[in-house]
Amino acid sequence: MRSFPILLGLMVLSASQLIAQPELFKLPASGWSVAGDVTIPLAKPASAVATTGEGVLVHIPARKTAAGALESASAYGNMALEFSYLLGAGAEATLFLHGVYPITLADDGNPSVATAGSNGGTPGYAPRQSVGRAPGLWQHLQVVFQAPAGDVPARLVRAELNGVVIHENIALQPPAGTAVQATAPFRIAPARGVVAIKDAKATQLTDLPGPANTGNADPIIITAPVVTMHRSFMDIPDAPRITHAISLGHPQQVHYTYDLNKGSLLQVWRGGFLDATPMWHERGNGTARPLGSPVRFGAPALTVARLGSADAPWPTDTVGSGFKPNGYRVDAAGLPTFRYQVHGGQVEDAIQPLPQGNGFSRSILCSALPAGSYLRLAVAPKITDQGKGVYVIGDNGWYLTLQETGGAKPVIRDGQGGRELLIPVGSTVRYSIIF
Amino acid sequence: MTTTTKQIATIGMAVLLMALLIIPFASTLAQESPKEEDFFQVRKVRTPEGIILEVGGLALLPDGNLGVSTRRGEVYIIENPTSSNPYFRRFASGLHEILGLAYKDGALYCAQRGELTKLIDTDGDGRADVYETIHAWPLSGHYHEYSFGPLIAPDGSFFVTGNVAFGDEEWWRGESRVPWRGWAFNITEDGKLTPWATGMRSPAGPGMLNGKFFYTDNQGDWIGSGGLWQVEKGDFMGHPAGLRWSGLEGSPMKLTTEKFLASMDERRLKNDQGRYIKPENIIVEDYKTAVDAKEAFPEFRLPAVWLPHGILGISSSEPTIIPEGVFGPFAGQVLVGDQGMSMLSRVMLEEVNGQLQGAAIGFRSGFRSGILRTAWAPDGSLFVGETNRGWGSAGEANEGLERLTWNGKIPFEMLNVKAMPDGFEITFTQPVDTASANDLASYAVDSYTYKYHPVYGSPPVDMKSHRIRGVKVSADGLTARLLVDSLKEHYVHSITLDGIRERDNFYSLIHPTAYYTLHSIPQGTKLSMVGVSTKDSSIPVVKEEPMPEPTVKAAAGKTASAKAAETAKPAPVKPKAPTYKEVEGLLAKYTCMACHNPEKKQVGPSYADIAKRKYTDEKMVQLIYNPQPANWPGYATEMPPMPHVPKADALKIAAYINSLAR
Repeated sequence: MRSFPILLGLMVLSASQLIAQPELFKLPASGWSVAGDVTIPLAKPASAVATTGEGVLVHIPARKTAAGALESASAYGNMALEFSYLLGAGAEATLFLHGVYPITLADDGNPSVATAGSNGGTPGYAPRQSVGRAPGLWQHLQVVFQAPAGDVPARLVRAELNGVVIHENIALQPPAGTAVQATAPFRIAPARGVVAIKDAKATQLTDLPGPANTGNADPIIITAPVVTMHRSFMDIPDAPRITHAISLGHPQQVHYTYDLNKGSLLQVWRGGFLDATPMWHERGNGTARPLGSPVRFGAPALTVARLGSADAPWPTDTVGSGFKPNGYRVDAAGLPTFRYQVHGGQVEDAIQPLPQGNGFSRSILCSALPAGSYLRLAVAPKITDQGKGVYVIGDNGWYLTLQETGGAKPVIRDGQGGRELLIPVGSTVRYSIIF
Repeated sequence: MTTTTKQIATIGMAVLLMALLIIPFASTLAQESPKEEDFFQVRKVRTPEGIILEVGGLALLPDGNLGVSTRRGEVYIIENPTSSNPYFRRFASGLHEILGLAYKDGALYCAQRGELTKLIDTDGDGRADVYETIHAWPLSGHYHEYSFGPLIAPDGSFFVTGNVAFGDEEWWRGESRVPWRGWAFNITEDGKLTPWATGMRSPAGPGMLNGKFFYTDNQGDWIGSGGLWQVEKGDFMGHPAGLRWSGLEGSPMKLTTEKFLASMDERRLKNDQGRYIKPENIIVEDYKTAVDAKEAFPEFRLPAVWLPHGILGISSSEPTIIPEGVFGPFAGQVLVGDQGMSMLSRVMLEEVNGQLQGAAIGFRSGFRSGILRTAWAPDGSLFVGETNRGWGSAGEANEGLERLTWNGKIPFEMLNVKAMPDGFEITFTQPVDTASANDLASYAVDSYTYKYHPVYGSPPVDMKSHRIRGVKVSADGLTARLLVDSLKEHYVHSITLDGIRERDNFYSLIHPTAYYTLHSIPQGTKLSMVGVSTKDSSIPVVKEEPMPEPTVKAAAGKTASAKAAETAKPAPVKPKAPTYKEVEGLLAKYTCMACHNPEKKQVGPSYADIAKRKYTDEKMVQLIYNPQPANWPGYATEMPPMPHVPKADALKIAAYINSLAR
């Protein structure tokens, strides 16, 4: 209860605002500094570039400074905790709930079979899904914790990584010989590599939430032990229902959804493939949902369009474009290449998992498109050019790396959805999406 | 049996065994008429564990293999599908609710929710590697926007039909949110779409019959009952939602929503709170029928036959012509599937004065799930593709692929029913017993029609019994010419032959009632009374009823006596509720059993579940007359209003249902 005045202050802030972390954590902390932002250069992913400012706590290993733990200024009993974290390549840290119950935060390459030591794991429990992000990208952990009381062990009521439940209602065993306390601070202890924290919020809870209400239907899950295509309706935030969607599940556990009505990549995700309960239970509503944590690319729009001029707005629909889907061809590996006509030209669009499983490679082959046609590769509030064809999209949301442009020069411009990365249509454009 | 055994004991063991087998069998036959299953057998198609065959489409391939598409988006090709050892190959997968499959020139074509797709195996590995979009049409994303087909027209083009969506607040009202929902459209191989006809609501049963485009629709708003319609370019089938797009380029439709509303009332009314009111059946009103719509709109297409709701189905599906030489005498007639009642009906069509019409009759029920698709196998059996997910069906399985075979025996049935200037001519598959056929008491003809209104379905209205003036039975006993008074054009005439018996074994008809949709009465000379029997055994003597009426009468008697007891005693005693046996006849007569079962959920809730609601008997009668589907959100199919159930009978049914409350 003694942390109450601080919590009250925290709770009035909206989630998008940066939390005044000096109030949440004991600062200064050895090895941690306060920054305005931090980015990881894709070319040198174990390093970091921090800008001056406030809002981000960053630990960059240095030879002379010992890594200390971030410890909360207050002690908590039952609590809700959430924060965003960003890791350099190979980095690892541990969140100690109640000071002693560990949850691993690690750039572990998102193994297809996770263990208790994987990102989001805790002793005895692997995360239910591997839904971590690539190094250099913000990810978000939300935890509801029930403190130990007498003989009743502590429980992890719920843990969500990047919006996906990775634990629900599991008992946590304290390390041997630890005395049980009613309240304790939590700690984030870096073990190696670059670790950054922001948007942290801790709340003492008087009432613990019950299990999530997910309906009464037996779940119908589509896994992807082999390359698996699945057409359905697809809902994404702030857009009408996508009626001609196809999702592709890959055994590397990276998946995507594509809008066949626009030739538009809608989302990519890691973890489980699809929950088809909404479409296959009883009548259903025709929709399937990604099981893992999607990175979304905004409202669907044409990928290839002719612009009246270089600063003409990107079209929001296909009117006047002559867009006509032709379907797809499936290669020997089961991967489809989408084909469509637009502005009288032909487009072939192939999206394949990267060999390391950290994203997708997309090749777009255009023929017979009129002059003034462009590809829009990304739209986001922020696009940062890291040089040599590497772009950071959004707030460390995903990396885009250009491999092949047919000699065309990409441009970043302002559009209605924020910044847009365009490239004039040549023959083939190939780029990677790393997330 | 004792004497029989003694007599033959000396003859030998083999003969004894044969006798034991034959004699009881023969004696059974003499007492009980054979049933559907004694002629047509439902057989399973062995299916590997794990495959969920929610059949949306069936297509027979030239090599005798069977293509099957499923609601789960898979396409299988089954090798040796009629053998005891069929082999399944998954040809394609990941498609969206495939509700139709067709074969043409080496490729399979299927309608997904949002497109017509061509599936081609270019490398010969038995799996499609080209998924070519022939044409993609818009959808709003409503669950009910299913698309059915394709049919392959004689010119090689395709027909697809599309369901309407439903309103948000007006969840009962079919809506066409995007072009061409509620339409049939034609698509050419090169992807050109031509809108063809509208007015469709839930056109789950497109079918090409003798090269002509037909379809079945499901009962609902503006569709009084299921039926079978021929579809010609520019036709308006009855549901107004699709008229919204009449003015779009390529539309052949002259009728517009405005013109429609000038003649028809959609009953889009709001209550004091500004909320839309669901249109309910008005029992006493000046209603319109399909014929009024036909008079108002020349584009309006009358159904060739109505498939009476609750009797010959509740959700009609694919029609198919019975080929020569496969199902005995029924070649050339039409079989129509039904999802909710898991049955097939038989339709006998004829053209009278340029109008297609005819009779419909039950054919085979007892399939494991709801029938959506049928396809003829090379061996003359019929593949039956089934699914009921989300709607429920008499067959309790959620899905299945079965096969209907004929054992070569001729069932005693009405082979054909034809309209005559003064009645009907009924032919039989086997000679009738002359005495029964010459007796007018063996026949009953009743007529009724359906309302054309925005209410979910229509009760049968303007019901009337027709006097039968005489019957002339042909010398060979295969034809009965029935003289019926005051035939009514456009009405369904139910022709019930409960008293007719087969000549040699005195069997009853397997299906005693045919439903003739009489749009047009043929011209021609009326039958002379020479050789016409006017004998009616029901007039002088009380004849034995073949139907289970006595139990109903007993039930009525009991209730009456219970009521008498109630008035006699000072302390009121609750009247004893009728038992299932006592109401079974009523439940069948009023088609309750098409959707409800005492204990199990089917299309509608079980009687036991209804009893849990603790409605009074009176309230339950009101709900029979004007159902409130909003009370049962877990059920997809609305109950139509049933005001034609007499109140005394409705109360009896209600008392029975309430007796199930624990």
